[in-house]
Amino acid sequence: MLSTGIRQLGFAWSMLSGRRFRVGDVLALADDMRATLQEFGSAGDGAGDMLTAPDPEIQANLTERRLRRTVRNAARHTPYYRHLFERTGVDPASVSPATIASIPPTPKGALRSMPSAFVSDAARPAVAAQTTGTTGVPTTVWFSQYELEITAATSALALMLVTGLRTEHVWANCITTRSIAQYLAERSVPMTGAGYVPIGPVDPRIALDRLATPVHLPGKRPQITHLNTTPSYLAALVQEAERDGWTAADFGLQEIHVGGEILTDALRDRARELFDAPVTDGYSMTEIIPVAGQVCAHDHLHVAADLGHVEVLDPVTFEPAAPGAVGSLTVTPFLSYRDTTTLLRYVTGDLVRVLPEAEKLDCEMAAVPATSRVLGRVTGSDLTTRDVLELLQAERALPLPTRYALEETGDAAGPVLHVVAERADRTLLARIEGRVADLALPLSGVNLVEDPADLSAPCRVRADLREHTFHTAGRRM
Amino acid sequence: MSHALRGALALDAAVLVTVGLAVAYLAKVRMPRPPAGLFVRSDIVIMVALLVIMPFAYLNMPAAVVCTVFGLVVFVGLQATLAPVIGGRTAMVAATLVCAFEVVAYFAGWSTALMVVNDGALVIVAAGVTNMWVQTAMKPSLVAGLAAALVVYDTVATGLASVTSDFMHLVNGIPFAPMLAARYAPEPIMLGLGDTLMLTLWPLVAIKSYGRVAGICAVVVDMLLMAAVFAGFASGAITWIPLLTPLGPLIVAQYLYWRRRTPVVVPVRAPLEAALRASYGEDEPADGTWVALHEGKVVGRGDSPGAARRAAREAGVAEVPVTALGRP
Repeated sequence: MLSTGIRQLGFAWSMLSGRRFRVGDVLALADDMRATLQEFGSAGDGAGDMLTAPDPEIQANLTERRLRRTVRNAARHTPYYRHLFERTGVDPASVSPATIASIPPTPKGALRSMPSAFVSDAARPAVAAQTTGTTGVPTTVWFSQYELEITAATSALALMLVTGLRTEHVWANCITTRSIAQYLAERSVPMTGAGYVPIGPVDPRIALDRLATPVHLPGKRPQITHLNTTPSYLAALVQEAERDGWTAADFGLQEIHVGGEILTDALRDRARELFDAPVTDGYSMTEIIPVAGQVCAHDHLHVAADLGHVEVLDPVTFEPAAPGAVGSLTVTPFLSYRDTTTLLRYVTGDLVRVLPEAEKLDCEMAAVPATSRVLGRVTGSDLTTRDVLELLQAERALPLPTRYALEETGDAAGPVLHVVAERADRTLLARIEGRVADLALPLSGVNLVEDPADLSAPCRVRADLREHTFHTAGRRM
Repeated sequence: MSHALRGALALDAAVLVTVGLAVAYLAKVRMPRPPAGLFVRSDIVIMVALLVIMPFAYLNMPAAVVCTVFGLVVFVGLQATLAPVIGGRTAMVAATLVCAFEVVAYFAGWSTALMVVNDGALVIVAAGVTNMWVQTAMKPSLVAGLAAALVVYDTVATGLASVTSDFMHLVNGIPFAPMLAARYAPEPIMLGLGDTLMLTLWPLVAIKSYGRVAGICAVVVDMLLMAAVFAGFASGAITWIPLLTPLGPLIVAQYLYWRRRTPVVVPVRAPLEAALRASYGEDEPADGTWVALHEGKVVGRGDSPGAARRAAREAGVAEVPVTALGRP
């Protein structure tokens, strides 16, 4: 208890000062938390404050201090920013949350084009993570051993304190094994004492079979209790399970966590109905780790301010988006968590709506800053990815994962929406067109195709990052 | 009965009150816990190190500094113990009043009042501190280890050297003295706070870890030890004793006894046991077939474990079966 207390003080000091953590202490703290939960069933008093400062004034003060350190370090050690500050004449010492707009935002393309220029001269790069590259060119992000260990340990603390993961649970990951999220999960989940099953994005029939397979391990529930995946792979699982007659009683799922893509209300409800488990929507991306967000019960995306500075910028002017306006999430991960690939004002390209001033937060995460859920990417029109997916996934006759393409034809009414359907039938088309009219979506037409190759542009989803196995699944006899 | 024996009896009574209060506190009150952390071996090492070092340090400090240190201990101990019972603010006020009274009593020369109030404060603090340890999951093995270490310490510091005796004289009659006292110098009747803590701690840990019977036995052992010491005083055979020298081995012996009596039960996984005893009869599965087994019977088949589990559910088996590829 005394040594844990000293570790907690050290952790709090690093959190408050923005200085580096002592890796051994944070790992030991995660272990202490696991032991505490195992002994008492709950964390002690004030555990919630371990991960985030509860007072907005303290939080603002901390953010300023952390941001200053991060900017100073980037200007001194990161080649891209050293040149940027020289070119623009901005004094790094003058940058604060109020004056951060003096730093030009970092576009995704800059990192994609020369990832090494973003690696700090003082860094010890250890692991390269590549984004999935659904747009065609992956982005490389280097991480140090320090970053990975700190992120894994703090993730373990969050899994225990926020997600409620316990030693009796069994966590399955159905995300690509090449992703940094997978790398971190296979370290953080075992730290909580829970069992970890890396299934990967295999054939959904095999994944369903593994989710249903009894495990009967000592101290664990008899089946997998938590599933972590992407919305498109969840969609593939839902499609396969519905088609093959699986029911919630075949599984032991208690929670489903998704992230990395847009989760629609329709898919969330369909998955919850099928697996009889709540679906939690999260937000993160390789480049901005460990900054992450979670969608609350009121459908806000809450992104904690402890791990990075978050802005919402107009996607065209890069000025701060006004309340009620749509903007791109722009993130500066703090130095105490990210010392290798350093990013200042990184434009993620993920669009959100700034909450209108009149909208007061009264959800369970009200203390954490929030925006709307992610709306998707810029499409060239007012239509967002979420608009299209909500429209299409509400129609159960369309196959999952949803595949579509928008084609600009110059029509003032908007682009044409090409959608993959099992059968291009007129009744289905009429239903979709009716819904487009009801929702007043800016589309000039809808076209059903039966082959994804017939789409006007390729539609890539994370569920396509399929991994192969030699398993077979699953016929009853 | 002499005044000295009445004093010794009063100290024994104070110890029993402490034990009783601590047991009642354990049953009724949950102390606030730190966000993370249990009482572990390193805590014992730190405690023993402090216990060995601090008396020497105190002997080289001015009495006012020693008084301040123990004043803080009593204040924090009282506040932490009383807060879950009467609320944080009231506990703060109560602790302040007690500490203020001790200081006033000292300067006013009310030595009996000082002794009685300080004894009362120490009883509450001892009940609270032992509960804090037990409620942060202090294990019997750790108490036994602490007791064993204290046997060595107390035998040397109290029995063979003059450290404890010098310390007693240093804190004699000052506010917040860490001694239960029935009479101050020149003929002091005192019991160290460490002795009180260990006499209280083991019954609590025994109750929590081994149950009520073990707790009652621990209290009975405490009482027998105190009775033996009292008899020693009454007969004139002893005039002082390092109490932990006999108490330590008694705690270790009780720990070893209850540990033997309470074997660690590793729960078996009944579904697996039943599956391994399953009788297939006519249902011998073909090669490559997965079977779902429940209560020793095949309740589903499939060409994968998930398919077999699902077949079991479709056959009306609500529990999660064991799956095996052919005969396990």
